[in-house]
Amino acid sequence: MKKKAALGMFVAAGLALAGCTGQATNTAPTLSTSDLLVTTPAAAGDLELATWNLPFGEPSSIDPIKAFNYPENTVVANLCEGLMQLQPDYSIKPNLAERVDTPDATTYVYTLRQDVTFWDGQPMTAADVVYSLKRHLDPEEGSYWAGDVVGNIASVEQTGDAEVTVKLTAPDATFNSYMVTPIGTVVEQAFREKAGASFGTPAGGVMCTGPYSVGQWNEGQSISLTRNDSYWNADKAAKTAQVDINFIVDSAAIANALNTGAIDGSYDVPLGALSTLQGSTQGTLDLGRSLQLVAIISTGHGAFADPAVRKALMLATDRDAIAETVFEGTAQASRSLIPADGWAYGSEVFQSGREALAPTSVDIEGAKEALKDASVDVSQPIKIVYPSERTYYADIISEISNGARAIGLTVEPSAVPSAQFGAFFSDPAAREGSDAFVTNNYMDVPDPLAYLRTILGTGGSQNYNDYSNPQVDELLSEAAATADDDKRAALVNEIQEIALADLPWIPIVDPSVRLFLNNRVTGVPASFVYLYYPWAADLGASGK
Amino acid sequence: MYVLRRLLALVGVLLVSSFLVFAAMYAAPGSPENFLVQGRTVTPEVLAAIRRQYSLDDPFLVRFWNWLTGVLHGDFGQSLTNRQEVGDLLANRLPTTLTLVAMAAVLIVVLGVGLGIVAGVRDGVVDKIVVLGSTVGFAVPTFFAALLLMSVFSVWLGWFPVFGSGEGFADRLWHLTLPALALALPSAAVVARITRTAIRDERDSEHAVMAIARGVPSRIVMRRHLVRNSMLPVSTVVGVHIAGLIAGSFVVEYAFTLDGLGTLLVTAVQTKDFAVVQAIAIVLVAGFGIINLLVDLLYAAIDPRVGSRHTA
Amino acid sequence: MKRFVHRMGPLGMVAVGILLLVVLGALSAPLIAPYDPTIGSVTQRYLGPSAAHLLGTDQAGRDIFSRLLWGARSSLIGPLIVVCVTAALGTLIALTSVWWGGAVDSLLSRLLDLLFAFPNLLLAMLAIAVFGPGLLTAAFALAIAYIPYTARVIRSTALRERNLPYVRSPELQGITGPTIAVRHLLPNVAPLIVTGATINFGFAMIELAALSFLGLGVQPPQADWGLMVANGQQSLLKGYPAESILAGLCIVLTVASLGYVGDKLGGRAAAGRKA
Repeated sequence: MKKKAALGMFVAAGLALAGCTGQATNTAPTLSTSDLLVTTPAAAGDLELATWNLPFGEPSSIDPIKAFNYPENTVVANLCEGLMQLQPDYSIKPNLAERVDTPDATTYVYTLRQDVTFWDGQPMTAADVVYSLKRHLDPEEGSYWAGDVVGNIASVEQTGDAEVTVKLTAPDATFNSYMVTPIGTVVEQAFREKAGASFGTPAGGVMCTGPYSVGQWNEGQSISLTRNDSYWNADKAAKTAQVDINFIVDSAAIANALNTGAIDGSYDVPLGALSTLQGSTQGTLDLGRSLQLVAIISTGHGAFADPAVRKALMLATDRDAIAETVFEGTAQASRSLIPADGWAYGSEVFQSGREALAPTSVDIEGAKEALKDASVDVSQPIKIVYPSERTYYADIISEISNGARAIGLTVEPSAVPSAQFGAFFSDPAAREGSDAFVTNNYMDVPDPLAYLRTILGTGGSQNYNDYSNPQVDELLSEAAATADDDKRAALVNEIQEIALADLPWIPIVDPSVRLFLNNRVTGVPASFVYLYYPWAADLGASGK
Repeated sequence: MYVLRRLLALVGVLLVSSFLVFAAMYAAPGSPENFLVQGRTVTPEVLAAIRRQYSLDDPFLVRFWNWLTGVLHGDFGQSLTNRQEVGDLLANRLPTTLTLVAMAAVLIVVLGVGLGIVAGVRDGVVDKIVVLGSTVGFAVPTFFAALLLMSVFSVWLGWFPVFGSGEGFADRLWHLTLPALALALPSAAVVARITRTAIRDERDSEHAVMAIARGVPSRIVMRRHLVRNSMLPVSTVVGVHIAGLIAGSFVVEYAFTLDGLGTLLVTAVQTKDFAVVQAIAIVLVAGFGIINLLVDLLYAAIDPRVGSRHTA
Repeated sequence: MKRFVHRMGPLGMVAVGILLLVVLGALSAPLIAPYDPTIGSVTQRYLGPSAAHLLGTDQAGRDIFSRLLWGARSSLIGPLIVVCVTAALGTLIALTSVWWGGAVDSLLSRLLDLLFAFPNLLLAMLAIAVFGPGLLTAAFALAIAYIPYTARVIRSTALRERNLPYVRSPELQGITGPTIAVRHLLPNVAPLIVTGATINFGFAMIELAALSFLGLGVQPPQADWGLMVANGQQSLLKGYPAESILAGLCIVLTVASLGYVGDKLGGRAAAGRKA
């Protein structure tokens, strides 16, 4: 009898626990996307040590040619530098190059600075620059940046003591902006050749020119950045002597670490941690201007391959609700394939073009109308694949399937282990059995032309459904050859309209940068430049 | 002699297992280079270059032979994901897993055997609680126990850290307390139960009853008769559960995001990181085999009747 | 029947009751579950218990009660497959081994030893790597891993029985091996198989739930108790423990009841487990 009672009490306790906390009040988010930050207040002083975190895990390499994703780029941005440098306000300034001249549409002449040294004291020479740029062209090096922009490079040559000339095959107005990415990053030739296959690994390291060099790398735990005291740019010298970057991916662990001050700050704060961190007394959660986009990519198979179906689904899905609930107000529903404010030129043109687009609100009637044009069998279920560990995708797809049901379509979420989800982006065979897959995408450079080119251009690197539209291709080449910013922006607006009519991707939300900073630190940019701008050099004491 | 035979058998098992593991990874669909870059696209030429770099296009037997000869030289190869030496990768993560398993083993013995003895010797409330606790405890999956412990002691009370395995000996023990507890719980429950049953069987046995009737003090009866004799079935059970801890630790590591072998194995299997999977599989099978061997030796040591005529 | 009730005792009957409830819930899920377990709207997330949602909703706005009901199905079918396959193959191997003896017995014993040395989880992970994650793959992989345990017990019992007169005499009369095995040996080892199956069911349930927790078994958004514990982890740490705790409780209650009933029936020895 005692046992029965005990068992009963146990069960009752469980239910009570479940019940009472289930009614915890939903605190209204105090975050708002109407005032996104570009920078945080400048640092007031220096620091000896700061800790940071990479929510997407450990970098698999610090070799710039393999730095093609969040963890790698966030670290490499502080170690290695490019010929040009992206600024927090998205403008592009000369960096390792003193200036760039374009005698004609396909030629870029870079005049290099002569006072730059690598961490080992060796001076940066034009030969190093040529070598670094050409690494992307060498198939044996296996640069992740190969293709697209790099594929358009005809030659890279040293044309003077401190001069390097790059010739392109076809004119490309976006080329110079890519010099802020690892495409334009410079490493020391002698060091790289000596290190061989271990270059970029914890054993081999790298040799670059940036404000930080690599300190201790505890595999699986953390990597330390040590201040480069002989950095060539005295104005932008690092304010913190050492930055320890951890690799915690678990959302609860991150929330706890930030909330207890064990870690001073992090970009890309996981969605699961938002409610904890919003109320934190240890620091503040800032929202910054971003270049990110969450979208559903069509694979070109199944019912989803029909543009009418895609259009109908987009109109039927409550994207504002997704932005409010799944993203807890830190994102805005997408009006276009180009993220909000995702440009560094032609602002007025882009802004007015954006305002002319359809609103993001739910339109069931319009969706049903659009569906009438469908030529496929709409009774077949639409399978959308997502990485199983990122549960917020499940919520998003669930919301899409609600909208689908309202117009008579069936949407099925399908999970694949996160570690294997990457195959969808590189292996056409992996895409065969499904209609669509999700992406948390970002613009490499703040240039809508470059971005749309990868998605809509025939053979574009992000063209996963063989979308091919001669009109679009023509507009893309024309825009690439247009030097005038506003004229180019107008052409891109035209491409944008076609994009939203054909919808090879359904844009869902534009996430903002989610940056958490402990009260004792400040200074880092709040905008989406931390993949290429040496954010850690700006990190310093807040004086509080 | 017997030990030598067992060790040779273990080597044989390791060889066959590693072949089977390699074959399984080979047969699994998907190719490792496709999982390297998450959510971004690289050109097919780059993927082909990666395949060349890692000899992924060589025939199956050639690759297995290369791996085997490498291992015999102490070279476990490189991880496809980040080019790190597998030996280093494992060396970094082994201490966490070993500490976790060791702590859980200690907990199983202390809690399980201890509570079992107490319940076996006394009657009443304590006994009933232990019996109920063990029935329920065995049914609690380690990951659920992990979750509960984490939410109560880490998040709500804040007594223990939520992530990581700490630095330095004492810090590590502190970080691994909750995970070890979660891991040990179901096994401790079973051990407590078996111990209680064994003690009770002994208590009712002839020689114990006789000893008490003769007037031998109960404490000596307990020590020399009850506990000593029940150690045989108990130690077997404890040994079996400790052997199972290695695999069980993976689930706990996943739940607490510890940097042990478990999380590494799960990701490596999914991304088809051959060398890493092979190496961890060897560690698992070898560890399992060695612990089983130790258990059997212990069994033989406690019960002289068993000796070397061991029947599996 | 009366003997069964007597053997179980009052707590045992409670356990049997719980098991019946779970099975009933699983069977009737399509009929009585108020909502579709995979459908929900994020605008309805984290609602507390109410008349509309008996146990509230999870982070995607799905009804937890419906998910628990439907989850019972996959949480029960998996172990059922494991136990049936193990019993069938284990018995087959054991009886074959015992009947033919000699080299066949040696070979099969070596194979079983090899299987024994292989940790269950690793075997499951490799099978899943080859055949893809999912309930069936995980269940079959575990079944293969459990065979040695069952085969070992059946074999030792069968060995004992093999040389008894009731087996030897038909053999001498010329009746074929398989016939004797089925008609005479099998009925005598049957109780052992059943008891072993009960205990193994509990083990299988937990190990399958663990595999789903790791993301290797049942895939989301399907409802499954182990998966719900994993999915609910983030919610739990945000202050909404309903999904994880209720699903975990279901697992605990079911396995504990099974264990209790199994113990009363014949104990762990019948499962071939030293524990």
